[in-house]
Amino acid sequence: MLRRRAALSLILVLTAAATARAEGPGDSTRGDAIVELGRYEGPAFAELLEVRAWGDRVVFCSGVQGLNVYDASDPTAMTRLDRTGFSRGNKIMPRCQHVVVDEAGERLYVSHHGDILQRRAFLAVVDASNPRRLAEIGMLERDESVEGLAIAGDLLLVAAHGAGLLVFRRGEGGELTELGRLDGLGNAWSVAARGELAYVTDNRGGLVVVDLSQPGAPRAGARLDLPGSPRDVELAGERAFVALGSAGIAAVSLADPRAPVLDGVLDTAGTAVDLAVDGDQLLVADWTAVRAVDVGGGPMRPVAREPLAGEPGLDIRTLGIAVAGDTAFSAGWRGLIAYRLHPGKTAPDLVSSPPDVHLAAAVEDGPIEGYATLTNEGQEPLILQGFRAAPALMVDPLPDRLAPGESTALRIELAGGQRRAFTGSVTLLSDDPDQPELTLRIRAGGAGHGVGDAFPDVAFLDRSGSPVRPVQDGDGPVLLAYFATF
Amino acid sequence: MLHRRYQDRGLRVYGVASRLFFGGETEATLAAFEDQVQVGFPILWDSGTYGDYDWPPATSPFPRQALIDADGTLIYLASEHRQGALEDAIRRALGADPGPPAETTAEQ
Repeated sequence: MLRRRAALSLILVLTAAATARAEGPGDSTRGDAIVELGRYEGPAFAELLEVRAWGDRVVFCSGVQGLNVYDASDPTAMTRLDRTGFSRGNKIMPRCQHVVVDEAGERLYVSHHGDILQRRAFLAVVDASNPRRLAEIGMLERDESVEGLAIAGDLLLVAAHGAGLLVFRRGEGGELTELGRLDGLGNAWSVAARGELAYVTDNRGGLVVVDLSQPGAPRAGARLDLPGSPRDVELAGERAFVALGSAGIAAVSLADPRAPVLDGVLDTAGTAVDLAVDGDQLLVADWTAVRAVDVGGGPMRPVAREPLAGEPGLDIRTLGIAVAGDTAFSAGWRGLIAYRLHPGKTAPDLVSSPPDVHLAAAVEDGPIEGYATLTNEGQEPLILQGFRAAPALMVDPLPDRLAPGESTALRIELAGGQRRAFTGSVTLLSDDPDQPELTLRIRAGGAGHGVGDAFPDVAFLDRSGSPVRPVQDGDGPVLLAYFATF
Repeated sequence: MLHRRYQDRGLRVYGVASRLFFGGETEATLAAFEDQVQVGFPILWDSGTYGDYDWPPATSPFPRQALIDADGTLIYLASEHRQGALEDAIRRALGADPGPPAETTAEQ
């Protein structure tokens, strides 16, 4: 254990780290399994969503930049080939959520679910035969909200939330003809297809098999209940993989394609929203990190994690993932990110949750404390070599080693008598190869209600406009989740 | 999922819809959103409180999360959804050892 507390400026507590490394420098298996190659930044609010890779191209939907196609023949130096909005969409901030590529790689099918920025939901068809000149050739506005897409032969399948699964015929000229629909699927979020069967995720907690042998009359088959909030579904061999939101990911056996059986669930620690599979590798868009999971047989095994580090103090997230061989692409909040995958490599990986610590506002009165949880999410033992801390910060003793998967609490105390607004940092030193120095920003004070403050007597409004005071009735803790629909 | 996991232990969750951005949400946009995500907790209109917090810096204006304990003290502020950190804070708010989370079959 590290026994000393940091009460002086830049105290560095060292351990015999050099003797404790799990592997020597000559070990060719030690290292990051996911290495960032490059970023292709959009504006601060690029909000990339679904991303697909085919051949040497990458296409993604953006919340403000429409549909984008990149040349990824050199993933360290990608170039945008073209970008397009939509004839019926928002002209200033064209947006879409999902895209699929046809078998020839020449036609893109796009969905937008309808929201405050672009109220009507739509399906669009884009000719990408010349990727430098994308051209919308089909547009279908929809009354129902449309989400995930899949191609099944000459059909386009559309998950449409409460409206279920929509089935369209894909026309030669880009037209979409509705053939049939199947409701009663709960909250249909995503769809994958193989042969005459489709697999639809119900965001309420399930995977439903749909028989498409008569496209005009799709029929619901077996339903598999799943934990969490199922979103994306991907098929690989005799298995399906489902992103379960904060419940992680599920592997589902399709040994009998009409009777899916749950093979296992892996908690990814984040919020799994999108998946991509290539061979034995499953890539997960896990909200603020990309994760690689070995699905090559037996239980799913986490291999690596790569955080989406943003500018200091700023979070970025990933909502989409694609993989092509040893290259992966992540749809980040601020742009497209390319990675090289090294599935044979293993390393320790130090993660702090939350990544920064926000302390109470009222720091004049006395010491205040904050917490973070430190976890080794890597596959090798992690050596905590020490830490540096700002003078006013006390850090409780930390273990000098974390086994793979092991967590420990980081307790930080800010001495009393500080001015109201405080900004400092604690830097943890470890043998994590991609972040040997992990810095947590420590903030206290500042304007507005802060942690430790009494929550004021404020009223919100219910949907009819009547005042509501959810925090005042003392029934228990209250979580206020501020959101917008864009 | 956190809502369903901890509601029996007293956690209450409210979605707070902002009217600050892009002309503000409307009943129609909220209704469409509810169809899309089907949350299992009440959604309220913000009365203008969004700017009253000392939110951590962030790229995006949403989500924002504020957790208030049973004594009325603000114990967690976040400008990004982080499942582990939020759940840790909820468990602290519910007591030092609230026990293992209840199993759920769906997430909200």
